[in-house]
Amino acid sequence: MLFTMMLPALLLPVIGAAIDFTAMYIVKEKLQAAVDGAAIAAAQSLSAGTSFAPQQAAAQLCGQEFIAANIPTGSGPGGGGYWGAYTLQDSVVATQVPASKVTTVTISATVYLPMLFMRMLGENAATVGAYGQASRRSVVLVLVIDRSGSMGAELGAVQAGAAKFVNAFQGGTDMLGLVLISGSAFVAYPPHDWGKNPGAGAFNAAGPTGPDVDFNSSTVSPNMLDTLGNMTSGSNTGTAEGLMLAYKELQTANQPGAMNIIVLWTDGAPNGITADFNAGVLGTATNSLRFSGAAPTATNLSGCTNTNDGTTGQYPNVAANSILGWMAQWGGYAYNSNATQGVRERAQSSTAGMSVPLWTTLSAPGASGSDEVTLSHTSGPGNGCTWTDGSAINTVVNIPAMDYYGDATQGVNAPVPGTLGNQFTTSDYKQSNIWNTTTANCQKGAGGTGGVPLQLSGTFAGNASTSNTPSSNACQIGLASWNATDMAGRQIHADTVLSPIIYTMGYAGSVSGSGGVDVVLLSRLANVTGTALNPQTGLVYNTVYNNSITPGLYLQIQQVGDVSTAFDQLLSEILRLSQ
Amino acid sequence: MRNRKQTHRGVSMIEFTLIVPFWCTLLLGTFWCGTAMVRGLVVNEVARDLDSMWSRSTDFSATGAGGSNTILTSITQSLGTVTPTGTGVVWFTRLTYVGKSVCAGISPTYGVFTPTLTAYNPPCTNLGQFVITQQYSQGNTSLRSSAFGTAPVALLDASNDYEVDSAVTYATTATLVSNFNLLPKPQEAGADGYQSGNPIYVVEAYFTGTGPQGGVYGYAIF
Repeated sequence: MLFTMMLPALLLPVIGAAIDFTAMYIVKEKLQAAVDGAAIAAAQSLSAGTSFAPQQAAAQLCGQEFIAANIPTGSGPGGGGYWGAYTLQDSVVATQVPASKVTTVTISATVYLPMLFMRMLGENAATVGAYGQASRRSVVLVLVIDRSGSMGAELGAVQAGAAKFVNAFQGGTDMLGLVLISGSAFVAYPPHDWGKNPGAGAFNAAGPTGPDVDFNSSTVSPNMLDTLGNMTSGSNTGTAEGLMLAYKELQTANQPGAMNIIVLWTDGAPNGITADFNAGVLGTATNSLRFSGAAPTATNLSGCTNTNDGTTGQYPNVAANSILGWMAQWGGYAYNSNATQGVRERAQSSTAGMSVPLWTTLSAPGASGSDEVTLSHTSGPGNGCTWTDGSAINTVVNIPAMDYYGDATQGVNAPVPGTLGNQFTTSDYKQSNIWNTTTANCQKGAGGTGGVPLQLSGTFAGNASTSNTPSSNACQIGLASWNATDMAGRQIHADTVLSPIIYTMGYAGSVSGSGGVDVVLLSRLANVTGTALNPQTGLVYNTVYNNSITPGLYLQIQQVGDVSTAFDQLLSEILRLSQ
Repeated sequence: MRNRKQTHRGVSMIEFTLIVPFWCTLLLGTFWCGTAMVRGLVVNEVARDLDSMWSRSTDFSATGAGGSNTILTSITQSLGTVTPTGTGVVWFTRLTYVGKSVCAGISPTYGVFTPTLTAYNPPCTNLGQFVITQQYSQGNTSLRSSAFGTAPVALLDASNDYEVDSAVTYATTATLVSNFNLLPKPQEAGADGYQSGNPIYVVEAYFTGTGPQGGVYGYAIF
């Protein structure tokens, strides 16, 4: 009897306490979810403003907003909060550790929870707390944009998408730069001419800086956003140079603790290379330029240099007699269009007061008023050469074995730092679209009518004249450009200190298919796995995937309306990795 | 002695008979209450875990089993079945706020960086609104709709994924979010926390069974 009478007095508090503790646990889990979500959102809002102070303030406010959104709380007991929770108190703190390139958002929050049964023991409310943290690793990013003449209706969308993309990064902390690709690429932001020594030109009075933290600062004019907005389309596609300039910029910034990223936007295959066309051994047949005439002789160009780049430049390949410039297959795809129109002046190397804004808006090489001029012995950068043909096609008898940046145009680079294995082969250029596409003539001999397939080595069968008739030479230039771009990706991926990640974006320009984009090449550059077949060529996307290298992402953009989403997706991927 | 014992035994039986309904009710009530509380706890954990993964680019939109949906099936199995005829549904909704900066970004006609904010081209009809930029669901959608509105079924693509394809679309024609007042609208004039154009990832999970409204519902916002 006594036991029966006492049992409720013993069990009811126990059951009540169990319910109260369960409620506390439920609220704690909900508060933890709120803190987790708030930490992610707060880290994302670190892009606000151009310095850390406003970013810190935005992160704090955003964190508080997301906590409140996740868990309703009242101002007091009975205020309608989650399980009656009330009086939310939180602390959102963003801190930076410059040495490790990490910004951390730390959040702690507490609420009071009214007790249902424990109040019988004098406990009216319990305090429930949660703690969360999100870190954001700093980003050093170079955006490489192909502004070649084929960039048409999509240009505005690219400018808008890229601007939104750039604005999402953390000014004052993240470091961003811009390289624009024409026939010759150049560093558009922060402007710098890698062909000149520090202090020797208009673009590099302070020397190279690499990407900087002022990319969206209103105190810098033009900043990266201004330059993007001013960009127009024109000229050819020297993709290898664009990638290597981006890499040199990353090397200059030299931030091994940060995420080092190159983002490449292109709408077509590479069709130009920048090289030293007088790099061979003087007086031998290995040289690329010969004395002119209908029948090129074996005499090279001695005592000749385009002095604006020349021996005072910063490139390792420059020799005393160097003739630096670029050439491209002319007028579109390499396989079915015109050949080159000679060796032209490299971007930013002019002494004629050329500026980044002018290069950014250059319409076409050779156009009236253009500074993207053909090298000539009579005046300008080529002055001093005993080179007699300004158009130069009949003097280019070999494609240089390497481009200006050490990328092999024929075959595979010599071993580079790092261990990549031996997946790259000397015939990988045969995986390119221009080799495989059925309309191409590159593997069928001149004119696409059959004959001996081209070999990407040996003597460049230059035209006997400067005519622009389609010829197999265009294929050789295109294939050499493809190979150099592939090797540029290999060189960049071989850097085990900065460990750059390459993201590639290819604009197809139609609802289906890949347009002029070479999916295989962009997949190789991004080091993405490629077990699927390229519908255009039937080839496996990427035979050189290396799982020891952080993969990037290849995004194929079909139409103008997809551009913004692609930049959003890329941003999501980069911020996900950096958090 | 025997008679007295028999008397006590009778009293105990009566006490037991009287107390059994009370204890049974208490026991069942505790069990019911505990089960409901635990399910409420788990459904919020499910929403949080899925949202955490989704906000980091995990895609749960594919139909059928396999891929990321294996994860979804695994972490929801204690709550019910997430199939078209099952006992649970999970809604994935991505929102954003269309502010002036978004509208400026879609108006290259007026200059990307120096827009005329009052004359967007195309017209920025969703200015000042939260919109749905992506939405899909897994499970039995007849059980419960999203609390934040539903994108037109006709816009679902082959992968069961409504996703607007450009900023132009979500700034002009995307489905507006209904009843979303959990976050303040950015003012874009002074200090803002949540920034216009940034994604908001919302996961809602609902499972039938014990609960105040016939089921348990939880959500998470990242």
